[in-house]
Amino acid sequence: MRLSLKDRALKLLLPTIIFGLWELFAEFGALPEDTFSRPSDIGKAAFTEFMQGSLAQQTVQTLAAAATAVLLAFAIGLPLGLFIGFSERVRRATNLIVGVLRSVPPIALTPIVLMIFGFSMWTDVAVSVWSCVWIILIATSAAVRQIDIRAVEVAHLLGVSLIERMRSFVLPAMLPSFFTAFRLTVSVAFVMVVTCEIAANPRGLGFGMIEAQQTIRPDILYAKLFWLGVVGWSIDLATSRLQRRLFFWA
Amino acid sequence: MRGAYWNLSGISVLIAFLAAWHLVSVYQMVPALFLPGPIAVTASLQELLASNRVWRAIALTIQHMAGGWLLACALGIAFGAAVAASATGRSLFEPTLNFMRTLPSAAILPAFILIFGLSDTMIVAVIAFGAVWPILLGTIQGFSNIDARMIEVGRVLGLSLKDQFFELRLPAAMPNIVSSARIALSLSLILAIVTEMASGVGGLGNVVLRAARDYRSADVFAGIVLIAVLGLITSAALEAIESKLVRESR
Repeated sequence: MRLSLKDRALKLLLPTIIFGLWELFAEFGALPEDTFSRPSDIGKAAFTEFMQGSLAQQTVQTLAAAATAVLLAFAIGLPLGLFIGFSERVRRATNLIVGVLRSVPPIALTPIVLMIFGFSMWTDVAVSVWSCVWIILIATSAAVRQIDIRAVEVAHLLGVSLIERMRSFVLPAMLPSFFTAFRLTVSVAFVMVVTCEIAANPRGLGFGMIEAQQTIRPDILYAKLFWLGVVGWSIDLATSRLQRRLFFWA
Repeated sequence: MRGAYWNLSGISVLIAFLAAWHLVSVYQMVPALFLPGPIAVTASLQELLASNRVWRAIALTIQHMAGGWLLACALGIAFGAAVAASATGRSLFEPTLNFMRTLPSAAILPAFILIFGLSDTMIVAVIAFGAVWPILLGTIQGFSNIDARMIEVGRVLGLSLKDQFFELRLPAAMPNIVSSARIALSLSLILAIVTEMASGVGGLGNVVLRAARDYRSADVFAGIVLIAVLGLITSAALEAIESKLVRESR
């Protein structure tokens, strides 16, 4: 899908206006510089932080925690979701406990998790795994239901092996909706890691912003905020491109 | 899925879970500091509910949540309706909105602490900032989904622009708006807790944080139970309103 020139121009118009007005207001002293900074200073701060390597280091910390959380959440949620999804009885029996545990707000667990794992990556990981596991578990058990059960049963009667049944009936039916859950999991993991870094854990981009706030460096703070936006947006864009390429029929 | 929670097998699984949790705590398989048993948590919960301090904290959290959410609804619906009114408006605003949407909501916290200080206003602002994106995008989506023929019929029948808006466009957009407002409400609670924990201003998040600092794990878990219950009550209330509205619009 190619965008027309007009659409491209419109896309950039709003940010240009916002940053232009921001710079202009700051120039005329209408914005207090110790809270709002100004776009040109933010640009300079971004450049310095980038050259010093702290931006890259914090980004890697945040992304590594998010990626680990996604992998772990799949390792836990996928088998559980399959187990729950394949049998109506198991699903009926586990609905309540999943509902109860899922409503536990993971971010409120941070103080406890912090006591267990300390100021390490695993604090971020544990908190975001808790929120991601339920997404995967519910999506997997729902995806299982989209399988043509009768086809699987006929295959079973005809003596087709479990692995072969999985490969030819189960996976093709499950994968598209499963990938949607993957996209959601990736973005939730990223959000939870950053939130945990802001609320409690002194590492990564989230803490980078808290640090900038505590030392009253709004230029660094906004530079990291925009960078965080760019990172999150790129992740979203990458997974949605991947989805369109892999599941072009869905 | 709904209504299938309370059945015999579900309740037995829940009881088995509680029993297993109790055994883990009785035999100290996990240090009580990390995982207090269900009896200790229940005792803490009773003690908390008997104290005025917690009810004040709950009231404060509800105030933060409601204030931020209402502000987000007002801004999101008004702005969303305005943006959705023209195709140019949509292509002007949507790219920027999509960028902002991927930004972790809590990331604005350090900036708002600089701007508003450690105050209730800051908490309400953080919640409003985080909760506005789903409402905004839901509103734009809702107004875009309307059948163009309906508008033509309205024009032929000589409805004024105001009547077209209130009789045709708004009812058509309502289901999307309400369901996005529900997502925003659960986001509001999480943001209220995060912000209260990170800033120490007050509310349930602060209760949990203080308990954790004094290593009162049972109180932390009791606080988590309170937060979860608050979340369940608010989302159930809004779900009831949603189903009523959807039934009326049919």
